[in-house]
Amino acid sequence: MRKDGSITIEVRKQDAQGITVVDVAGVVDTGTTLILDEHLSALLREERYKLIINLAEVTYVSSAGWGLFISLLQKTREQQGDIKLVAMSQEVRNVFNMLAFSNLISAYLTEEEAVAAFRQG
Amino acid sequence: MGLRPVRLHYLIVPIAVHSGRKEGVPAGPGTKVEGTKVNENKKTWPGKKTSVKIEFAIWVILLLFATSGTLAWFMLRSEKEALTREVTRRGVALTQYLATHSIDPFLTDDKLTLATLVADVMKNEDVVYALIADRDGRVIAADRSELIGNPYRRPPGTYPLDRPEARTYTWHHDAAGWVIDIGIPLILEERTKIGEIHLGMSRATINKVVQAAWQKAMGLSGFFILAGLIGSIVLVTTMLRPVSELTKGAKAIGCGDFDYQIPRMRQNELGQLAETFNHMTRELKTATEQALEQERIKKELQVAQQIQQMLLPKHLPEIKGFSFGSLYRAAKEVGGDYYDFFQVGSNRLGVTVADVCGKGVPAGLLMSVARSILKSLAPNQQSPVSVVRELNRVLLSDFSRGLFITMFYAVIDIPRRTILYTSAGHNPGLIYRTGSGEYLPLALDPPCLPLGVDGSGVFEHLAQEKKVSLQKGDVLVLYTDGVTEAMNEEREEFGVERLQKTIKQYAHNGRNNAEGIIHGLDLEISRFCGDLHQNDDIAVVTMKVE
Repeated sequence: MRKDGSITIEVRKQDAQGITVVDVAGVVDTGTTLILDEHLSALLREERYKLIINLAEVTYVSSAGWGLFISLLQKTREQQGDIKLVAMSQEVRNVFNMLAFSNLISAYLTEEEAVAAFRQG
Repeated sequence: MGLRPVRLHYLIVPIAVHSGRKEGVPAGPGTKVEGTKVNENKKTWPGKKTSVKIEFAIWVILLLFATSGTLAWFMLRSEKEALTREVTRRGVALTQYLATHSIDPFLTDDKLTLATLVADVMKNEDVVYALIADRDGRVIAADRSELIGNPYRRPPGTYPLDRPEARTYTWHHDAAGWVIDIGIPLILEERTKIGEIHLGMSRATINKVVQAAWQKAMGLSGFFILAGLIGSIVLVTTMLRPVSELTKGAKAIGCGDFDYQIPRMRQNELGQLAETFNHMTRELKTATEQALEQERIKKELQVAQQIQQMLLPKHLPEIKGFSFGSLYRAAKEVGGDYYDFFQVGSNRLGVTVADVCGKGVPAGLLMSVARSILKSLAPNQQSPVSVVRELNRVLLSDFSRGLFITMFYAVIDIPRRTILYTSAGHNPGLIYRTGSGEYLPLALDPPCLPLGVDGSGVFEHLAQEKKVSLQKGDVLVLYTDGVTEAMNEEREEFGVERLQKTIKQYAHNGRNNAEGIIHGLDLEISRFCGDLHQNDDIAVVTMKVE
C-alpha cells in the first residue's frame, strides 16, 4: 500500500565540506518528481554537488524518479560530486535492485555511512 | 414739497402686498412660453429613437431654458416690484402734497386754488388723473372739468375710505390702461373726514422698463441657450468619441480581430473602460489561442496515439503449437510501454516487453526510436543479449540524461521449444507450469541495468542471457510494472502474487489458451482497480505451449 501524489522535501544539513542532506518523504511519482527536481536542481545551482538523499520516509519511487537520480548522478559526478541514497525502504530497494542501480548509485543503510563515504573521498 | 412723514409711515406697507400679488400674473408670459416648449419636446420624446447627442442637447436646452426663464422671471418680478414701489411712493408723495395744500382751499371752497393744485400735480407725466371729492363723494376739483360736480366714480372693485388711511389699488383705466389709484382722506384736525383725494399713477413707465428688461433677458437667454446647445453638442461629440471607439472595437472583436486595441484615452471612466476593454481583448486572445492550442495538442495526441497503435503489432503470431495473447492500456493518450513479436531467422520468434521511464508523448517517442533500432537489429541476431547490448550502445548516444528503458527480450526457438531471454532492468518474466502448478521466474542474477544509462561497460558486463526449456502447457507471461503497480481505491497494488493467482485461475488447468488467459487478467485488473484512473501504462504478453 502506498500513498499517492504527495511529497515533502527538506534540505536539512549543509556542512562546510559541501555535503547536503535532503530528506524526502512521501511518494516520488511522475508529478512529485518535478518538485523534487526543482529542489535538487537549485542545490546544483548553488554548486552543492555532494548530495545525500534520505529516502527513509519514501514509499514509492517511479521510473521518472529513478531517471531523476540517474541524471543527478551524471551531473554531480561531472563536478567531482556524487549522490548517495540512504535508508531505502524494502519496496524501494526491490526496484533499485531490479534496475541494478547499485552498480551506478551508492546506497547506504544510514546517513552516517554516507557522510563517512563522502569524507573518505 | 412739504411732506408729512407721519402719513408716509403706514402708507407703504400695504403697497408691496398688493402689487406683489396682483403683478405676479401679468409677469407670467415667460412661464407660459416655457410650458409650451416643454410640451412640444415631450411629444417627440417617447416614440422615436434619438441619439445620445440629440437627447443630451434637448436636456441641456430644457435646463438652460428653465434656469434662465426662472431667473429672468424672478429678476423681472423684483424689478417690477421695485419700480411699482417707486412709482407708488412718488404718487403717495404727490397725493400727500395735494392733501396738505388743499385743506385750506377746501374749507374756504376756493375752487381755483384747488384746480391749480390739481393742474400742478398733473404736470407730472406719470399722473393720469387727480381729483378731490367732498365728504359725500362729489368731485369738486379734477383734471377733467366734466367730472366736477358729479359723484365720484370709484375704480371698479375699490373700497370706501372709511378709515383715516391711504390705500392704493391697481385697476384698469379705460383710457390710460393699468393705473395705480392712490386714495387719501382729507382729515380735519386729525379727526373729521371732510373729503378724499384720488390720484392715478400710470404704470406705463413701469411696463416700458420691464418690457425692455424682459426683451434684454430674452435675448440673453436666447444667446445662452444657443451657446449651451453648441457647447453641449461639442461636449457630447467629444465625450462620445471614446464610445464610438469602443463600439468600433466591439465590432472588430465580434469579427474575430483579437489584435484590435482601442487607442489610449484620457484617464476618466471611459478611459478606464477602454483599458478594461483592451485588457479583456488580450485575455480573450490568450484564452482563444490556448483553446486552439489545446485543441491542436489534443488532435496531435490523437495522431500520436494512432501512430503508436500502428507501431504495436496488429496481429498475434500464428504458430502451430503455440497460442499468444496481448494486452495494452495507455494511461495517457500516448504510452511509454511497448510489446512486440517478430521473426528471428527462419524458425525463431522474438518477443519483447519494454517500458520507457516516464509517460506520455516523450516516452512514446523514445519507445518508437528504440523499436526501430530493435526491429532492425533483432531479425538477424539469434542472441538476445547481443541485441540489447547493441541497443544500449546505440541508444546511449541518443538519450538525454535521466531517461532509460527497461526491456525484457526473449527469443523462442520454435522447433526446440526453448527460450533464450535477457532483461535490461525489467520486471522478471514468469513461466507458469500448468502441469505442476508452479512458477518459474525469468530473471538475471545479478540483474542488469536498464538501457540508456551506462556506457562505461557495466551494462555490457551485466547483460547476460539465460536459456529455459519449455514444456507442454507452459504459460509465458511478460509484463510491465503498470500491471503489478495498478492500484485500487484503497491504494493497494495489484502485485505479483495477485498476478500469479490470476494467471493460475484463468489457465483452467491448461484448458484456456494464451488469449483466454489475458482476457481473464484484463478482467481481474479492471475489477481490482474499479473506476480509479491508472497512472501507469500497462502492457502484457502471454504465450502458451499447447
